[in-house]
Amino acid sequence: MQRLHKGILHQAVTNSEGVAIYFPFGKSNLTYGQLHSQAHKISLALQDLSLPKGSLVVLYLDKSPEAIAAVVGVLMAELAYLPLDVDAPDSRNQFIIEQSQAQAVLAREETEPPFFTQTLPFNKFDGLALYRSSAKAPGLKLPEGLAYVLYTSGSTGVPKGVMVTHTAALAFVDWARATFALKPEDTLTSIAPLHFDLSIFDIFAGLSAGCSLLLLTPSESKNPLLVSSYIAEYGVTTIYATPTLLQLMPRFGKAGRYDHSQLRQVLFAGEVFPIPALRALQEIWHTAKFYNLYGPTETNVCTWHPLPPKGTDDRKTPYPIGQPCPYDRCAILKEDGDISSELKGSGELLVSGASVMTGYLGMPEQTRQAMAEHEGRVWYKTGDLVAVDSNGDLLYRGRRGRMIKRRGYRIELGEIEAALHQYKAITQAACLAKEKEQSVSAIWVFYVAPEGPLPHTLLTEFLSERIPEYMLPDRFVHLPEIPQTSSQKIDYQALKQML
Amino acid sequence: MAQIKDQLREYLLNELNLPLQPEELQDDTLLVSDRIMDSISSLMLVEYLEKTFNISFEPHEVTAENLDSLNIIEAFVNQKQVSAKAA
Repeated sequence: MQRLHKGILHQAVTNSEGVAIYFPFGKSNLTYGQLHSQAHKISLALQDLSLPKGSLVVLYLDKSPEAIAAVVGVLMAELAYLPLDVDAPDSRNQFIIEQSQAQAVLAREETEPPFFTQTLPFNKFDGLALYRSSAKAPGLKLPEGLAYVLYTSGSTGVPKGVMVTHTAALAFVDWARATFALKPEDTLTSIAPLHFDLSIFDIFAGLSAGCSLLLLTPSESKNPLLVSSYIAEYGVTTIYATPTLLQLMPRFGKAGRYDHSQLRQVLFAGEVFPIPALRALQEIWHTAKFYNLYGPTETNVCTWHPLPPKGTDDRKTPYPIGQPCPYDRCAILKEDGDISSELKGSGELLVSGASVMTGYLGMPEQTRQAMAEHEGRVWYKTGDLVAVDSNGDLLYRGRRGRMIKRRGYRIELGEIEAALHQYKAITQAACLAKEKEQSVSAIWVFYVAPEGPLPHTLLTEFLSERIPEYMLPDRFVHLPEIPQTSSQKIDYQALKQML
Repeated sequence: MAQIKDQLREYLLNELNLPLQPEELQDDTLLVSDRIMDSISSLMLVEYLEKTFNISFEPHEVTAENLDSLNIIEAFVNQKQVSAKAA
C-alpha cells in the first residue's frame, strides 16, 4: 500500500533545505528537514504508547507548524489522525473524543483540555503534551489503512466521523499534484483548518510536491489586506479557499497596492461562487486560472471544472461543478428512484470510486443509509442535486435536504439562493423555510449587501423575473454578515435561530 | 477632539447598524472583544476610516487592538494623522 505521507518523506531527503512552511504569525519557518525531524520525534513518542496499528490519535492543536508536523508524525507512527476544531464548544469536542474512542490525544502543553478524565500527560516534549485517552483499547473497529477521520455536522446535528484511507486520500492527492502542476517553486496558501477537508490538498498535494506552505491562522485569513500583502511578500502561486473568503479580496484587499503577478491558479470549493463576485476577483487576479472543485468530505474532490479564461464568455449563472475526476465515477439518482450512470437529466448526485470514504466511524447504520448499490458498485449519495447541461457538465442545484413543499409545489431553496446571487448588490444569500405544524409557513431570505439594505419590492421584482411566483420569499432580512461554520460555510443552524 | 467620536458613533449606529441602542455605545464599549462588531463590519469600518480621515491602514493594523472601542479608534486615528504629518 502506498502511504499518504510518502511524498513528504521523499522531499525530506531530496529537498531538505527547501522551505516547507512559512508561518508569519509565529515568525517561524520550517525546512523539509526540520519538518521531518519534528514529525519523527512525535512519531517516536507515539510509538512508546504501543497502540495497535491504525489507532486514532486526536490532534487538539491550533493551526501551526507543530500541528502539521503532528499530522505527519501520526502517519509515520502508522496511526491515523483525528483533528479537532480548538474553537468549537467543549461539548462537541468531548462528544467526538468519546464517540471515536480515540486512543491518544496530542495537545499543546499549556492547553488544559477540559474533557479528559485522565489529566496527567503520558509524555511532554517541545511544548506538546501527549495523553493516553480513557477509551478502552482496542476501541472501535477501524478499516485497514486508515489515514484520518474528519467529523462533519450531519443534518441531524450529530457529528459524524468520515473515515478516509491512505489509498482513498492519495487518489485525490496524486491527481491534484499532477493536474495543478505543483512544483518546489510553488508557494501555496494554507487557509483551511485541519478539520476541514480542503487542508488535504495543502498539506499532502502541496508538501509532497516540495512546495512551500504559507500557513495562515483563522483570524489572519479573515483580514483580506493582510492576505493580500502576504501573497506579494511570499510570492504565492496557488490559492485554495472557499468563495466566502475569496470574495472579500476585491473590495478589501487593496490588490492594486501589491504585486500579485506570481499567482497562477485559484481553486475554490465548498459552496457556489456568485458570478458578480467571481468576476471582480478575476479582475484583480488576471494572471490566474480559476478552477471550481466539488466534493463532500465523504468523497473528497470528485468533480472539477476549469473556468474559461477571463473575458472569453459572458456566463451569468454560476459555473458547473464539471466532470468527474478520473479516479471517480458519477451517477444520477432520478426522482423516480432509477439510477442512471449515464450523465444526463437531473437528480441526486451519486459518487463511486477510489476517493470515496470507507464509512462513518462507529455508525454502520448511517453508513448504510448514505450508500446505494448499483451495477455491482457502491455509491455514496451526496444529497446534492445536480442537472446536466448541454455540454455534459454537471451543474449544482442545491442540497436535497433543502427541498420543501409549499402550496403543493416542490421548492428547492438553493434555487432561490442561486437567483439572488445574480443580484449585483448582494454578495451572499441564504434561504430558509419557517415551519409551523410541520408545514412551511414562510420562506425567509437572509442576505448581505455591503451598500446597505435593499427594498423588499425591488428584490421581489428581480426574483419574479427568474423564479416562479410560488417560490418567491416572504421575508428579506439584511445582515452585515451571514454566520459561518468553522469550515467557512453558511451556518444554517445558526440562521434557523433567527426565524 | 470629540468630533472624531461623534462621527464614528453616527457611522457605527446608522451605517453599520451595529446591534446597539445609542445609549449603549459608550466610549469604552468593547466592539470586537464583545462580538458586537463582526469581521465584515470591521473591514467596512476600516474602509470608512481611511476615506473619512485620510489615513491608510497597514495590513497588520487591521486588528482588534486598533478597532475595539471609540476611545481606541480615536487614539489610533490621531496617531495615524500625526505620523502622516511628520512623514
